[in-house]
Amino acid sequence: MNVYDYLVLFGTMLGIAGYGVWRTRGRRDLRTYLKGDQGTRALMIGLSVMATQASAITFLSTPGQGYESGLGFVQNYFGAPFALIIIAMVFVPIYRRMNVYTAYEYLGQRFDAKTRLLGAGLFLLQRGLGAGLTVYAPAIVLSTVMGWRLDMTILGSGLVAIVYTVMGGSEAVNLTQRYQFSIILIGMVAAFVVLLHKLPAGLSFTDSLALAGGFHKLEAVDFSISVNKRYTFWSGLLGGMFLALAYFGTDQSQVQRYLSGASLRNSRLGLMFNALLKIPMQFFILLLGALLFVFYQFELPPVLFNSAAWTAQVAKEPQSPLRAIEREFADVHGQKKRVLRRWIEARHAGDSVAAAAARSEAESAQKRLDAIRTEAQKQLLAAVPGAKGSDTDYVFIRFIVDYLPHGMIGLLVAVFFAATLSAKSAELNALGSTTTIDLYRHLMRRPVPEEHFVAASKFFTVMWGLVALGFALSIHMAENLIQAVNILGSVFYGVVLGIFLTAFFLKTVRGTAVFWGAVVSQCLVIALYFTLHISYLWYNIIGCAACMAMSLLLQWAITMRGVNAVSKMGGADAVNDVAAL
Amino acid sequence: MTPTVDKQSSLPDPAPNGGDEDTGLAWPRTWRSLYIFVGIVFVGWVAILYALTRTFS
Repeated sequence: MNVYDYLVLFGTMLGIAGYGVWRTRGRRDLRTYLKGDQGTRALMIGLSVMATQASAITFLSTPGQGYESGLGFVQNYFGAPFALIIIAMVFVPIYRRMNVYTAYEYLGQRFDAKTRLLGAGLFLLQRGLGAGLTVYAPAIVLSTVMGWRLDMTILGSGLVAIVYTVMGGSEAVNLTQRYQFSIILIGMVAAFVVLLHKLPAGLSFTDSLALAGGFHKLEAVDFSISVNKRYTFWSGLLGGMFLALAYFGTDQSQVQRYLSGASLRNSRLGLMFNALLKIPMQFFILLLGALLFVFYQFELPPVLFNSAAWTAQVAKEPQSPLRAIEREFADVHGQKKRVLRRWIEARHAGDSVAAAAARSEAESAQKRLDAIRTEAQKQLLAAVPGAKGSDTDYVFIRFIVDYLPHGMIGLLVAVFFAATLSAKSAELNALGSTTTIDLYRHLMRRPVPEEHFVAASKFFTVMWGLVALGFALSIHMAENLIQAVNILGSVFYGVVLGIFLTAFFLKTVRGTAVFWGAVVSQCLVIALYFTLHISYLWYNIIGCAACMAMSLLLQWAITMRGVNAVSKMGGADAVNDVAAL
Repeated sequence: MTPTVDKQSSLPDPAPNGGDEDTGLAWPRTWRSLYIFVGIVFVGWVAILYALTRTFS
């Protein structure tokens, strides 16, 4: 990065954050601080909901998924439109009518204090850890590629988000998100256009798709019913719907976004905006990754995209076996490039026999390249213990740094920071609100002025920001980052969703039954996660179903016990006691 | 022992309308038609992605 890149990066990031603080200065009352000015329009809610979900991990890691595994990951989002419809129909009217600050406040009104605390506690645990990942994930990738210090990168992005979230509250989060998301859209479209421009002359867009398809990168839909496959149409539609229901319907970082709407209509339209655009957005990002794969068929990629440790090792040891691997990799890549040109020529000539032969040859060459990369990872780990093996998260940023012009590099790095700040600020805002409303205010016995709760909310936002930064500074991730976030969510979300669905639809179930049903179900999901080997999306359904079934069962047992007691004791008071349980 | 109030009785209906209310948009005008439109767009996307899968595999 040169001075122009840094100017673009710092100009956009600090400019947007500063504008958010300036526009929301002087907001003092609790309602405005936690819910915004309650005048947010549908489009802004839609952008805010989308920006909250699409963290930097989405834009860094998803193209790598497309590069490595193709478009199949898009199926993860197939359930989202239906979940958003259900939320617009059922969840939002209830939240708005009951005029709650947080989703968990509703649980307190529907059930009891302990169920409210359980829902809020599960959210704080899951989202508190998630907020650490939100900052850590882009920081590890950017610091490695840019040569920045990891701790400084984490602290830099984390502290900016803390400052403007604390100063401006929910309104500042909404306001900054719209500009941050505009930067994200501009940057991603620009990267896509540059990538298309950099594909070899004579290679049309259809040729590129044919090449990507030839290496199984365009297999977007898989209707098989195997529960062991990570991404299928069914796991995406059902598991993905439950994940999206839980995330958009019960996660305070999202609930807070659409509760800031001027009306029920605005909240609903904001959600429908996401229902329409979620799948195309993910498809577009994955397609970018698949086209990166095509691009690197004609440009020699690094043996490993996470090349910092590799380069350092090669420079340190001129006779390193890594150099031999590099030479072999370049040779095989050159051979494959020539085969691919033959394949394209055969396609253009309509010679299907020659095209099939070239494709088969190219696939063999790709297998050799994959084997060399596996060997390279082994050798690197032997030479540099602790070096990160998986490199899919580095594919897109490597392309940006190596092939984009200056100024645009700064813009794309700004995209990742904008996404980090927008997601992180919404998370901190929600964590601060939930701690204030569901724990602090709920447990506060004496009357205090409203300013006290605004100050408390600011304090808890800072506290969660520091917790997230502390977590980010101390974790080491090995797997693909976006999967790690989804897995963490799937383990907890199902049960939380089960509590809410029980509240909405199982009218006979009361607080004690749903509380213990949720506790037992969460233990069950955690135990299953460590023993079963199924797609993580299924845990959303398992957790939700277990919680609802367990709650019904416990309610039945409690009622039966009560009925027996009534029959022994007799009297209306005993009946009332049973009803209260 | 004191009789307790049934909290459930004061809670709103989970499905407060049938979807016939106005969206305020020129089109679709009712929420029901908007939800159906979202469903149709979803089917359209799955069809496109399936066609992509079949055409280029």
